[in-house]
Amino acid sequence: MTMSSHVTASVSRPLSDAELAVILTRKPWWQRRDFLGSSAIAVVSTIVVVGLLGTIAVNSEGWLLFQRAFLNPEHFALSFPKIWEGFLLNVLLFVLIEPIVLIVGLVLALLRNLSSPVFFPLRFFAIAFIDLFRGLPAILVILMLGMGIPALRIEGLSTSPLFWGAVACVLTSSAYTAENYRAGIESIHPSQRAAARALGLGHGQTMWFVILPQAVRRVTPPLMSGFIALQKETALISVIGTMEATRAAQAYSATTFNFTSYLVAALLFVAITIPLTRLTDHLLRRSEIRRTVGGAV
Amino acid sequence: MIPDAVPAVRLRGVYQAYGSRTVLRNIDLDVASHEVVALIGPSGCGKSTLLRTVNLLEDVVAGSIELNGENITAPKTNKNRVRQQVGLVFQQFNLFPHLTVLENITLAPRRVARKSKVDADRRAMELLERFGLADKADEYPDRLSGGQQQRVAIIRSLATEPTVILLDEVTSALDPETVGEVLALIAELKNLGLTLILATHEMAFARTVADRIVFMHEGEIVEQGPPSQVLDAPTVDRTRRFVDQILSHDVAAVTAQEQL
Repeated sequence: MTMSSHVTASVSRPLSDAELAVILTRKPWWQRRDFLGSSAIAVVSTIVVVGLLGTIAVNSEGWLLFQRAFLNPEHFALSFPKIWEGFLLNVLLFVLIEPIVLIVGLVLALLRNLSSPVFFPLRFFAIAFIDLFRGLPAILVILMLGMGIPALRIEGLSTSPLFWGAVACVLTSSAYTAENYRAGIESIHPSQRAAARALGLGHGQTMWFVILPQAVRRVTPPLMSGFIALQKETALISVIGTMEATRAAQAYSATTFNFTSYLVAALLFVAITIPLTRLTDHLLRRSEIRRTVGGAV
Repeated sequence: MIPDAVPAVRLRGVYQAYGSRTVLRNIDLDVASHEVVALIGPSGCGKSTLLRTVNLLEDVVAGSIELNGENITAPKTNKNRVRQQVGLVFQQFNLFPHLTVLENITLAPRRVARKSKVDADRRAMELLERFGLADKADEYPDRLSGGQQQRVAIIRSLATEPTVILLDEVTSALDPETVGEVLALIAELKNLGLTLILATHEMAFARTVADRIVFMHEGEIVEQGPPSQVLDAPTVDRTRRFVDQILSHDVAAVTAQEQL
């Protein structure tokens, strides 16, 4: 905006092709004037705000104690290996659980979408499942399954609390994921369904080839949020004694009376979740640009 | 029209309703093979509903529809098979935005008629070439103009090799300068020997392309006959009022254009 007004003010004759090319060539983002301007403002305002909050914190009465308890470099280094080891279990859990959640959630959403009275029992099951596991706090489900089922000692069923904790995560996350899918499915305009049916596609084919691909694309951001929520939910499995990152941090602080280990665990979680969010945003934007005119704007 | 030939489409006593609102009343209509029938009438007169009913997107409330002599409103009808033979093109194109032009066209041949990808692609490319859209095969619909999208939508309905094509106000959502290309394509469909039923507001086009014009009002067929009769010498008062209104509007538009 600033650039074009500058040009029109100074040039009163028609632009030559070379001049036009200079104006129209998009510079990389870090060289753009609007970026430099706004980032300068952002930097200054961040320094002011962080400086102010920092001054308040540092001058508070308990600062030195806090620093020793939560920001101790020595304890940071000492606790890191154990927590890292625990964190790998968190990663393993959510990498294994997420694909299952995506599939179970989709199946639930599709069952819920069945309109024929023949399928009423399936539809009823899906609704009951979703209502139940969305209504229950995840930590309760983990406790009940993780402690309860191994205690039953049923032949052939796993007695590992870790396994049942993971199952609990699948159940709660799937319920939320199903609702995300459903929102996407219902957001597709009925004319798309009509067009597909008019071509002779059946109910299932219409769903699979026409509705779902559009719906999933539309709900990728909420699905991604669900994935991040799941990553954090794996920390709840610590309540049934599994040595994952949070539990490892707790164990460390219990023996040393220092809480820096929690900071380690927190940083590890954030180091995964934030880049992942940015990556999805980027991928979505790219596919959008490919599909539409002016999608970049 | 050979009198004893089986009509391509035959409606007998067809009623249609949305809730308690009756949209079609006692419709009797025979459309011969290779005939082009234009449905005209004010908005809400039931033109679109009639087309959707013939495509079986809506179940009839009463009455029957026959396609080439086969009763397609019978309870055991395989609707998906019928829809392969009866193409429906919508006012708003309704292309699938996540699929390319080629994929839009080959979806039904591949998934319903179970053609191989190679066969379906080849057939689709033939159609695209014939109608001058071959260079758009790999584009996504959102990147095409309205006229191009509607032509793709017509080709998509052609790809299932139907005998009847229903066109529901296919030029109403278009910019004026792209209406011509779509009308030209419809005229070609006629030359291909397809049976066409089109709901339209384009009176000039209806006059040149249609063998018969059917005027509908409040869900009923009021008058039908060759274009020269229905448009120039309507016998029913309601038809006359509608035609006068439309034609005077057209004249006004033309005069306004000339004055510019």
